[in-house]
Amino acid sequence: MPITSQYLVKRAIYMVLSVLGVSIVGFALFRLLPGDPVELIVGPGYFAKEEMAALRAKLGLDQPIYIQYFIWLRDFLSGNFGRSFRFDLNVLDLIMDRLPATLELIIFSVIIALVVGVVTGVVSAVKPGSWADRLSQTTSFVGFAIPHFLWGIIFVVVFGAVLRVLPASGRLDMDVEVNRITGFMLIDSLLHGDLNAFVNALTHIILPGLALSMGLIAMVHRTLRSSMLDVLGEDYIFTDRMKGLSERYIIYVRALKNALMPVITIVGIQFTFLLGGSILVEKIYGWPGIGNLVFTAVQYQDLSLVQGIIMLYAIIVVLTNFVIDVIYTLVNPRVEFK
Amino acid sequence: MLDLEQVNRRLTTARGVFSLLTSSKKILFGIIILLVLIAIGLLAPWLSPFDPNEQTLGKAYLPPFGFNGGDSKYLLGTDSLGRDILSRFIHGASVAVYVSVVATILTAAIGVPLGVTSGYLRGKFDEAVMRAVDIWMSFPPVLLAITLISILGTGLNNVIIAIVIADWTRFTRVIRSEVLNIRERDFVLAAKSIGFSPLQIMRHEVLPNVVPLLSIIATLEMSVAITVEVLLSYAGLGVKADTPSWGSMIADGLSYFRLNPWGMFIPLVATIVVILGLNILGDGLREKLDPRLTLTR
Amino acid sequence: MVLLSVEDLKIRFLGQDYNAVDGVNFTVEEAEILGLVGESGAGKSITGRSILRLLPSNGRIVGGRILFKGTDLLSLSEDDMRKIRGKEITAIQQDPLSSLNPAFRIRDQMFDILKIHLGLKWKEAKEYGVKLLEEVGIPAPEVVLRKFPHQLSGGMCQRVMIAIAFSCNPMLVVADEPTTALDVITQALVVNLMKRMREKHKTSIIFITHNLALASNICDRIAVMKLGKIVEMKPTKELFKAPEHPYTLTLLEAVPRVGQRVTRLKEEGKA
Repeated sequence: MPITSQYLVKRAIYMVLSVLGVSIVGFALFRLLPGDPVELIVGPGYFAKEEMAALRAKLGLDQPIYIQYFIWLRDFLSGNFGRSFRFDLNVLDLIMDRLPATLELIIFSVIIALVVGVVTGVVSAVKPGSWADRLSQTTSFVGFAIPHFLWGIIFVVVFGAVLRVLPASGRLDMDVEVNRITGFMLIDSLLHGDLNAFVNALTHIILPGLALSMGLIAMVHRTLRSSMLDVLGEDYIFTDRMKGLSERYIIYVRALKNALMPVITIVGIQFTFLLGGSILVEKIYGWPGIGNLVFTAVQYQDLSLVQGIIMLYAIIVVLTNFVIDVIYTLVNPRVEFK
Repeated sequence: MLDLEQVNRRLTTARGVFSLLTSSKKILFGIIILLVLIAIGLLAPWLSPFDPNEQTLGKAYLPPFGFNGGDSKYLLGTDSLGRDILSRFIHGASVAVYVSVVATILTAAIGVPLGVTSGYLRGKFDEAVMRAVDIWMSFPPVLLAITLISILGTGLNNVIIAIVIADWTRFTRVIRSEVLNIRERDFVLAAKSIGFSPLQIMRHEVLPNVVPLLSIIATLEMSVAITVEVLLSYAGLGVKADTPSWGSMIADGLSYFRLNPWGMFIPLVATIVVILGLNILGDGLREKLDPRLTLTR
Repeated sequence: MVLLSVEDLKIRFLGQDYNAVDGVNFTVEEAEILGLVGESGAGKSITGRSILRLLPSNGRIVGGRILFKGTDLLSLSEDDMRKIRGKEITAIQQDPLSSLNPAFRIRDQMFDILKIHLGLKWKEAKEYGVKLLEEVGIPAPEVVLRKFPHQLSGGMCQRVMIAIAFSCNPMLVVADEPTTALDVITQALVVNLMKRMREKHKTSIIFITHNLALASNICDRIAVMKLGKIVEMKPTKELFKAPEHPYTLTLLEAVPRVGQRVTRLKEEGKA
């Protein structure tokens, strides 16, 4: 697959520009927030004007906006993401501490969506019009129409409160502890050989993960069903059948590989929505990830923190799109990088 | 592409519209839900037995009438502050109607002209608009909405503004895409050759043919608007404390769930029904107006 | 020795009230090339597909027998039929570029059939595959094996298909318009190739085409089909010398000849 260095350079430039663009918009947006951050930090009470002015100067808030931006940019490029007002920690440390939680949730959701969506999609396509097909389609539709966080609430109520089957907050029970290696509970617990913790982490991630995946399951199912139906009618499937290959092999290997291409694109497109959805889902489930941080950050007008989070999202989105494009070329040999 | 001849035949007469609306189970179902919602919403002041904010602290957490402890005055029970859930529900419906209708009209007002001019005129203007759309869409919409509310402050109208700013790209992109098709059609080329100005063409040839698509997107936008309102209210960033919206009812209801689950069930179920209804309506319209776009087969 | 005997075959599509193939009878001898000729919709392709029992989802065989080496193919289970497909009976289709799976390399699509029917392992399959490709006249076979179908021309893809179709030494190959999508020169190459394969492997071929002139080039016998029935079946030379059925005459007339003035197609039966 011809991944030319020329392409990589062009792509890298494009990605950097996108991220920069977002950073400018984000920076501008937050400078519009009413209220004086200095007052927020300092709190109620009387402080001498000089002290407040000194604090303001220290934080660089007395400079015009574009200078503030360049200072921020300079710091950002040298790895200094600023310091959070609210938490009094380095923004970078803060984000890195919570990032694995969010990533684990999103990746888990994508995996669920792919597995469930692909299996039901194949079943639907192989027997279109059957009860299994119609059931999948209806479930798909409902799963898509109802937004993530409503599903989150529904699951909390049904499974957490009414049936009391699964926990509805946090990543682990209070008394379970896992030493952090990667930050991914599911992986770390296995690395420690702690099966108990693994199961615990699994039960905690199921509800939020499922809630987040509902919309994507629907899209994967719909897309795969449609593309499988197209593929199964193609001449090359006739050739494979003519050869006497087993039907199962034809469906799950020969046809599926062709049918998966549009699915991959869809997953990529939906990723931004997953990121956004994770914010609310994290709040509902008390999940200690970036999403939860967003609320606090915005509420307290913690500018550095908010800017850091926005940059993080922008980078994740841009990187994911790139990865999706690469995967797509691996699966579809006809596409070349342009 | 829309089958424009067939579509226009149906939409240009009131009879046509009526027959369209009754022609599909999905459309019928969705329209009924929508009409019921609008009816409840508009008639709220007359339908609602109580003032939604009237508190009777002694009668808090009552279950609906018919259940143990229910009171015939409070048909659906009361919430944590003794407010009648039915009344709050009814007023919540009017909030939902207000939010969805206004937000949709505003996003359409921005998105349609932008989409039509951008798609028809192409060139630098189109590129600029699409670039803006791309940047806008790399922001997770939830993040954007939360940020906007923080800037604007809470309150129903601010929620609407936040929805419009966060979601104007929806109408723009879809309309533009359709216009790209329409502008190549014969009747547009004919109008051009007669010497109509671009503005006239956009107004008389392109715009009328975009209307059917509008209705489909509108249903989607309405459901998005309701979703965002519920979302923001749940996070405490939505309507002000005294405005009874389904979103704030759900948020409240979750907090006293153990004491009275109905406070949360009722607005939750209502929200789900309305969202589903709107989506089914949209799907039904898609089937009839542009089969290519259908989501179910 | 009769290899295939189709007796009173009837095929119908769902939703239609007539038979697309209506009582067709023919035999194919060993190492014989039989032509099925007729215009679009005559039922030739569907007859070919029915021999492999690979009808489209809305097609049904509603009558008759298909005897292959004495066994009625229509009575076999799907599992047994799968053993025959690819090994004893294979097919070549019209559009070579869409007959090969675009997501897999050529070698994957050649070796799979060798693995399940001949039990070859990868290395053996590779050697055999290279020989096959050389036989069909493909240069640099090792390079071609690693390529994807879209990287090859139509002519090369069709040769690959022919290689695949003949790879397990089937007794019968059903070729449905194998040259229609190719240019004239490649057409001639492919036709010669098929003749050579028949000579070498003693394979029978059912050659389906709408082109009577092409059929006369390669076929030993020709069956003319019209509206689901065979109207005439004769050895090639006899068909051209003394055609009986008016439809055959129409077909023959339809072939333009140099120096002939083109007039309206003579209707059947009229002078």
